Amino acid sequence: MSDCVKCARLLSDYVDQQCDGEQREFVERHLSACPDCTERLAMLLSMLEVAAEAPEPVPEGFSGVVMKRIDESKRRRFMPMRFTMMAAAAIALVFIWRLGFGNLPKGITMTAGSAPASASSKAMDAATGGGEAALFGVEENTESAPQTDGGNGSEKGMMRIEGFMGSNIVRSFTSNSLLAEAPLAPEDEDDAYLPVLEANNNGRYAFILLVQDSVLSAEQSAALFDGISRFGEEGDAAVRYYLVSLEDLETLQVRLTEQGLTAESLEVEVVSKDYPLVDEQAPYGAVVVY
Amino acid sequence: MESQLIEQAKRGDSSAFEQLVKQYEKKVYNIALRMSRSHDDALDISQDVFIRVFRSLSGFKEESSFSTWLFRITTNICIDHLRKQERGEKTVSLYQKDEDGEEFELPVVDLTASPEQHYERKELVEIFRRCVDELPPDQREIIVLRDINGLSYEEIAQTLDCNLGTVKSRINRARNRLQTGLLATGNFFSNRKSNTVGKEVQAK
Repeated sequence: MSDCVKCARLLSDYVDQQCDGEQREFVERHLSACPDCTERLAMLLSMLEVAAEAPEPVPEGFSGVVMKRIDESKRRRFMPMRFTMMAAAAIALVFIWRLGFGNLPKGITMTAGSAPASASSKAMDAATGGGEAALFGVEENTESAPQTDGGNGSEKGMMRIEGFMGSNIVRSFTSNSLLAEAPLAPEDEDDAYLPVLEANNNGRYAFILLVQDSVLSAEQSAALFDGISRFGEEGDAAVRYYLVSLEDLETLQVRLTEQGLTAESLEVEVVSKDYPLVDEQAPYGAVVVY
Repeated sequence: MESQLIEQAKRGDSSAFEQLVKQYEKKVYNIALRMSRSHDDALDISQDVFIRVFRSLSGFKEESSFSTWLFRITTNICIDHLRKQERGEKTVSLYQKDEDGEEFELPVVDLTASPEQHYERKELVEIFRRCVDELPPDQREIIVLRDINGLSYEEIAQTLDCNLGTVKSRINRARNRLQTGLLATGNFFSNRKSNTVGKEVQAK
C-alpha cells in the first residue's frame, strides 16, 4: 500500500480525531511532504463544511401535525371500545391469567375466576361510584355484551392496559372492579389512554407487538423466538407484529421475563388467525399487557 | 431538562412530548429526507417515527440515551420504508458489503487545474445533497448521521447497534464514495482547483 493510499484511508479518522497516536503521526508526517494528500485533506474538509450546511428546515407546524395525529389515533383506537368494557372485564382478566401473566406489574389485581356476569355487575357498581368510570356508558355495556357467534370477524378478545409505567391507566386497574380507584385526573381525560376490555371468545391466536429493535437486540430477539412459529408477520424494523399461538405466547412471556423484560414491550390480543395485523382502520386496538 | 420531559411524556403529558418533538424534529426529518429522497415521504416517516416513539415510550428503558433510541427507530423505519419500495422494484440488497476488501478509491487531485467556475455556497450545498442522494442507502445513512446531523461516533454506534470500528470504517468508505461522486460532478471542488483525472483502486 502506497503511503498516499494509507494516508487517504486515514484522513477520515484523522479529521474526526479518531486516529491513535501512531496513525496521527504518520498522517501528519506524510501530509507535510505530500501536496496531493494535503489537497485531499482540504477537499475532505471543504466537503464536511458543506455537509454541515446541508440540513433542511422542517416544514412549519410539523410538531402540531404529529400531536394531532397522536391525539386522533388515540381517539380512533379507544372510543369504540369504551362501551363494551364493563361486561368483558372478568373474562379478559381470566384470559390474561390463563396466558400465564403471573408477574403482572405491581398495581394490577387479578380477579381470575369471576363469572362474566357478576364481574360485569361488579364493574358497573364501581362505575356508579363516579370518578373515571363515569366515562363509560354503563347502559351500552349491557347491550353490547360480547357475542360468541364463531364468526371470524367477531372472534376477538382483548384487554388494554396501555401506558403502564406510572400512567393513569394502570392506576385505573388497581381495584378488583378495575375502575373503582384512581380516576383519571380531569385534565388528562381526553389525552390518556383508557383501559379497554372486550370479551375473549377463546380465539386461538394471540397477537403480539414487540418494540423489537429499540428494546431487544437481534440476539435477544432470535433467542426469544427460537422454536416459535410466527404467522402473518407485518410491521417494520422498529415495531413488528406477529401472530403466535397462545401456547407459544406463554413461552414468550417466560423468555421475556428471563431476559428481564417482563412484558413491558408486549401487546397481546386474542384474534382469529386472519386478523389484519396492521390495519389502522381496524375497529379495535391491540391488547396491551405491559 | 430532557429526562424530565421524557418522564412527563411517559405519564401522558402531551405538551412535554411536543417539546421533545420540537427538539428532535429537524434531525429526524433530515435523516428521513436523505434516506427517502422525498420531502413527502420524509414527512410521513418523521410523523410515524414520533407516533411510534410516543406509543413505545413506556418501554424506553433509558439504558441508551433518548436521542440514540429515537434515531434508531428513525433509521429502522427509513430502512423499512426503502424495503417496502424495493419489493416492487426487485433491486439488490440495501446494504453493501462493508468489509475491508471493498474497493477504496483514492481521489486524485490535479493541482495544476484552474477553476472554471466559482460556485455560490448554496449551489454547493445543493450539489452535495444530490450526491448524497445518489449513494447507496447504508452510505446515505452514515453520512446523514455523522456529517449532516453531526452525531458522535459513539452515538452512531448506539444508533446502528454496531461497534466503533465498524462506524469508523463505514464513515470512511461513505465519505470516500461521496467525495468521488462530488469529484465526478466536475464542479464541486472546482473552487479548490481539483478534478478527477483518474482513480486508483486499492483492494486488500
